Amino acid sequence: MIPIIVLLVLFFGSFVMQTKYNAVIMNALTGHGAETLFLKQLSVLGTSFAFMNLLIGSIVLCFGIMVSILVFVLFNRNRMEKRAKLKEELLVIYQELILKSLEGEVVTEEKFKKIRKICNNRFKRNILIDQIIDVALMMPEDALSKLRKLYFDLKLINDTKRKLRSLKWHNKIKAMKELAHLDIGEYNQKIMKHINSKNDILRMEAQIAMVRLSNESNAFSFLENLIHPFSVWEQITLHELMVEANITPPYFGRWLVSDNHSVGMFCLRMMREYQQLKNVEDLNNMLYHPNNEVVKLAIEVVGDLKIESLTHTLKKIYKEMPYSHKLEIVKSLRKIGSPNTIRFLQNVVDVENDTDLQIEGVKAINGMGEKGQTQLKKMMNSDYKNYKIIIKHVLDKKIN
Amino acid sequence: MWFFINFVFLFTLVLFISYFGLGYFSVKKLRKYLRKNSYVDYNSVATSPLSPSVSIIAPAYNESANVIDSVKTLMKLHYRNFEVIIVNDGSTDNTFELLKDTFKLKKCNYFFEYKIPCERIKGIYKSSSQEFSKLTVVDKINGGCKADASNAGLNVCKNELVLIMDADSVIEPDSISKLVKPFLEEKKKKVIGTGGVVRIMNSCNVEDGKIKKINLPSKFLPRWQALEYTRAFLLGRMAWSQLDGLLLISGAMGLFNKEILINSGGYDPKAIGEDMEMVIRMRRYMAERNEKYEVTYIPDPLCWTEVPSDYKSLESQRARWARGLVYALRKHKVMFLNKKYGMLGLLGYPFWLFFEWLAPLLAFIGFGFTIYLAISGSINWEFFGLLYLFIYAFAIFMSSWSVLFEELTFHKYERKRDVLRLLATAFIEPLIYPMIAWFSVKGNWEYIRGVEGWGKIVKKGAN
Repeated sequence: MIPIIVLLVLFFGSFVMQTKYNAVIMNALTGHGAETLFLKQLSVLGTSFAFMNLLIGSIVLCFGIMVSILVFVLFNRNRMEKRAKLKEELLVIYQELILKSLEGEVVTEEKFKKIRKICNNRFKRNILIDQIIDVALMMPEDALSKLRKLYFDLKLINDTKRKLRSLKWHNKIKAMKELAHLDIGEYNQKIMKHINSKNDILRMEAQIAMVRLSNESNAFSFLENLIHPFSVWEQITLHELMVEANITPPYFGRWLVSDNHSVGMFCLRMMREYQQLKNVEDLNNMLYHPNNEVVKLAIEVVGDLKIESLTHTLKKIYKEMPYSHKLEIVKSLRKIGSPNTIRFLQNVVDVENDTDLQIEGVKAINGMGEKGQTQLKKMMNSDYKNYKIIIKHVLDKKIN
Repeated sequence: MWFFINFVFLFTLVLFISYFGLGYFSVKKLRKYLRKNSYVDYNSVATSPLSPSVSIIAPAYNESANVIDSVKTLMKLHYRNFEVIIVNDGSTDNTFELLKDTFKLKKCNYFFEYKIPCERIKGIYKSSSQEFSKLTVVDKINGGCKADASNAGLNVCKNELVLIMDADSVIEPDSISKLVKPFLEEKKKKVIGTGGVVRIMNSCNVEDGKIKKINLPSKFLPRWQALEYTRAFLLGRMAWSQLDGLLLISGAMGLFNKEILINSGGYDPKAIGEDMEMVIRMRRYMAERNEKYEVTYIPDPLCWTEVPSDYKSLESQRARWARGLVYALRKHKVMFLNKKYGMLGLLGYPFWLFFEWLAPLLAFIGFGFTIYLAISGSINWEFFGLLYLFIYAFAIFMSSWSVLFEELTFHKYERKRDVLRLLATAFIEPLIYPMIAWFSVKGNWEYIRGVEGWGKIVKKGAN
């Protein structure tokens, strides 16, 4: 606020100051191309401003802003230093309090009063909340209940509730994180409202909170209601949460048919990560999905899950597929490693001219055990195409 | 004369308004970015098996002084799936021998296709040590430019995303995760390239290819460039990214979609500013196919580079940049005010044409004209003084604004003294502008004369 006042004073002050100066300038300018735009009298809201006035005003304004920035930088640095120092001091007090409550020591009402007095503003309370959460993340389940008790006893929930009600999305996120980490499920309905928020970060944090706070049986039920695309970024974050928090994965095949194709893709990825497949037909259907990206991923997953029964489908769809999908089909056939596909792969290597397709085709044949090795020997002796170079590439252990 | 004076007046007016506009849009973009990313855990993407694989391509020509440290730093990047491709572009020093001995390189039977033209690749080498299994060294005949070496790397690399960088740049450990993020976000437009902020490492303490302590350059020229880079990256590129008119991702480091890069023809070996020309061509490629796309910029300082610290090297670099700019603008002149290319054609291209190419030339003419008027006694010194003071004040204002951005965002310069010195540099900067204008004139003259090559730039290394 102070810099703004300084600026306003400077700006309007300049107009008072320039009245005298302007007369000198205008006199000096008379006769020096007074018809050009430089000297044109500009009339703003009935007041006559010469170009000079604007120049002088702008000069003062520019220097004023520069000085304000300088003041701000110095002020900001001092503020940061002070805050860092204050945070250090507070952490000592907070850690002692947290340690006592974890050890089961009864914290007296007097002590609470003292702490509440220390936490007399949001900044100080936020440090305490963050500290409780930091400790909660490192501690086992029983410690969490003690920390939650401390959090409620200190009425820190009021701060979280205020943030959850806030119109600012970053405050809502902070609240959701606090609730999720302290395992407070009473506000799930409010969090659920943000599952389809237009704000992708808010949406993502709501999803994470819901997975943390729901029962294992319905932790991922939000997938049924997702309207917005489920970005790979969100998928990565959620998967990392599952790994870190050791969450038992549900059978993701049940959401494969979601109208939201990005949900289907997430499920495919999770089925691959957790090696899930109850029904091959589910995956077979995904190979005919109207969305090209889904088909490509489904091809990859067929290979990663080594589903031999789908090799026939892969071979069947090969011809109609774009280049990137063809490459994935050949890679998947390599992963499955069924000798029945050697003839098909040989055909790919013969017909296709793309280097990567040829290399992947030869790699796949090489991985088909004895039959594959025999086929490679035949190819080595063949003069057709540049098989020798490709085979040398594939057999070079430094490369592959 | 009347026309000239009025033209210059209007030109300057539009220029100042544009700078205000850029200031506004960069604030908008920065604010949004910082708010959104303060909750992001980049560690997730760095370690996740779902993250895309990235190929890092670093062309090296006579880099024996720092190539080993650079490779070691790259091998330690915090990301799960990546490969490093060092392209030895026919170095005449012992760059290749150093690489071969240090990383126990062995020639391999690598089969690849010249999808984009480049000079002949003599051999492809992989390390026999498991520790460096991610490393590939491409040994090729010198192509005379970074573009040719980058193309060689593109022909050999395997992954869908490619990070093109300078071999002597120092990159932050989490830079891949940060650059990859825009590619993973669900957007209506396809992301074809991402760039990050490049910072200056002169006077910084560098150990084992890592920045240990950040210092503001002690010499004036690098310090002035530190201010210039802060302004260019935090103000300029962020704003152009917000406006979808970004023309340039710095050659020091940028992440691209390989398919689009190759389909649009790869790097142009004739282009001196190959980084800018490539981005424009990729954008043209997408626009001409009516595909929705995006080139993004992130304000995080991801890469550190050494800038020229002496007059001669600076002159050589800036003249080269000017030549590169003229080449790129001429080559893609069809985009000028062409609505087919969206904001790039209607706003980005004209801005670069008028205010990046023409403005220094006009300024140079202006200096000459002022001297003529002074000699002939036709100058109204009061008015001249006032006008000069205004321009001086405006220049300081813009620089201070960018220092404020730096202070509010990443404040990499921890010492208060460094920030104050940066601000003090802003006071001197407008006085050296004639020198910058001269470099630009020199570059344009060299372009007309058909001068090729990069010129000599002396790099002294960080502390």
